[in-house]
Amino acid sequence: MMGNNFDNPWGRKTKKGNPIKMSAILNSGVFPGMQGGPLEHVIAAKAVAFGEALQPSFKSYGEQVIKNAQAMSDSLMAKGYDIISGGTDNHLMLIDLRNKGITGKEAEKALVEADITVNKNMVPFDTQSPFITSGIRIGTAAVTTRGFKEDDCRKIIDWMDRVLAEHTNESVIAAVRKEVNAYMEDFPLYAA
Amino acid sequence: MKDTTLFNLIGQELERQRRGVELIASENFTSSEVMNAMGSCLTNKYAEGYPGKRYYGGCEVVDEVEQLAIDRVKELFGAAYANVQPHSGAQANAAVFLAVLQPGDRILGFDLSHGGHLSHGSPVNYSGKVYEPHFYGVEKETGRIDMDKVEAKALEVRPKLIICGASAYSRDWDYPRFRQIADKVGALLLADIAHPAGLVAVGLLNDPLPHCHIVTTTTDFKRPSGRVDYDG
Repeated sequence: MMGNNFDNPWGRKTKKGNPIKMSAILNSGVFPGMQGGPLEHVIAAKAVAFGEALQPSFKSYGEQVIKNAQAMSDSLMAKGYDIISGGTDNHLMLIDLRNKGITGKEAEKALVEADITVNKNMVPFDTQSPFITSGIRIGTAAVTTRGFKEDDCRKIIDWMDRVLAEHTNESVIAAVRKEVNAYMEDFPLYAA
Repeated sequence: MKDTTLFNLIGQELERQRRGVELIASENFTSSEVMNAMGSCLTNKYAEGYPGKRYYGGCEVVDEVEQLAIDRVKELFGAAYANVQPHSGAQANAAVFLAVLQPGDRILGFDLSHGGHLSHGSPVNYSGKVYEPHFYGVEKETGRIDMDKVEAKALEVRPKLIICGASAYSRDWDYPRFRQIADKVGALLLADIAHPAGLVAVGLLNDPLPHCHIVTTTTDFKRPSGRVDYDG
């Protein structure tokens, strides 16, 4: 996108001698530069998604996404987790797990077994490789779509903390997974 | 023929999505209408080119579809121009690089290991192989980007393109200051807002469009189940 369709800064001109607009230069970067045929079914899906985002309800959704992220971040910090930059302005946060004695890879594995899906992530100045990492990244866009509010987010952090505190204890993981599965039944997804 | 093998797998994935808590920051659950559009007969149509300027016949309807997507995204972000064809955010970025850079040109992006994105000059990505990548990062003490250090790096490197945007940075961006720096070193400024685009669209985060020459994004905020993205 461009906020303003300006003339290209390199003095390139059309055959008629007019300056070429950046829109034409970017369009040719996409096609024929990088891609062949566009995926019109995907473009149609984007049109639907943009139409949904233009509805007033999308703004309330966005506000809830941020409130949920802040609830998670506050709750994590209260439990002694190190959030990079000490909080969040948006929908996500990066957790440095080094003070908890667990790597990103171990955390991801244990949480996924408890049906809490996260991804391991490098933290700034990480001492582990990208395949191990010292952190995990979490965000609230998906759970907010399912209807989560701040209290639900604090509940997730309680589960996460239980799993991470005993990440090799299979009975703890199984107990949390059972609670997670039961809880999610109240937030139906693609209900018939 | 009924492909039970494949559709059983899709059923298993639906069950996984239903029973779990999804905290991956770049994921979301799209609406059924978005999925219906994705799974429609439009998948059959080949349409190289742009609305009104195609290399294939029979594109009258898909022209209207694509124009509707363009018009809506322009309205959503207040943009003067948009291209909705890139298949992913990384491809949108690659298309911008191809359009505005020459091989070997210097680019300045946010360090992947500090929260940046692979497609902003990582040595394992096309962007880091074809162009000469340089990076700014966050401060060890604060976890935040120090704009004075970005400026110092830009003055040292003199890049042709500066990229702001991240995949794991929880703070907002100072686009006016980035633009000042870009102007000072004669660089174009690209903002990749893939992650927080939805929050930008509704005015809950800073707006890059008045300040950045070019903005790329994805539709993570309302995404279909594949990565669908657009660029401009």
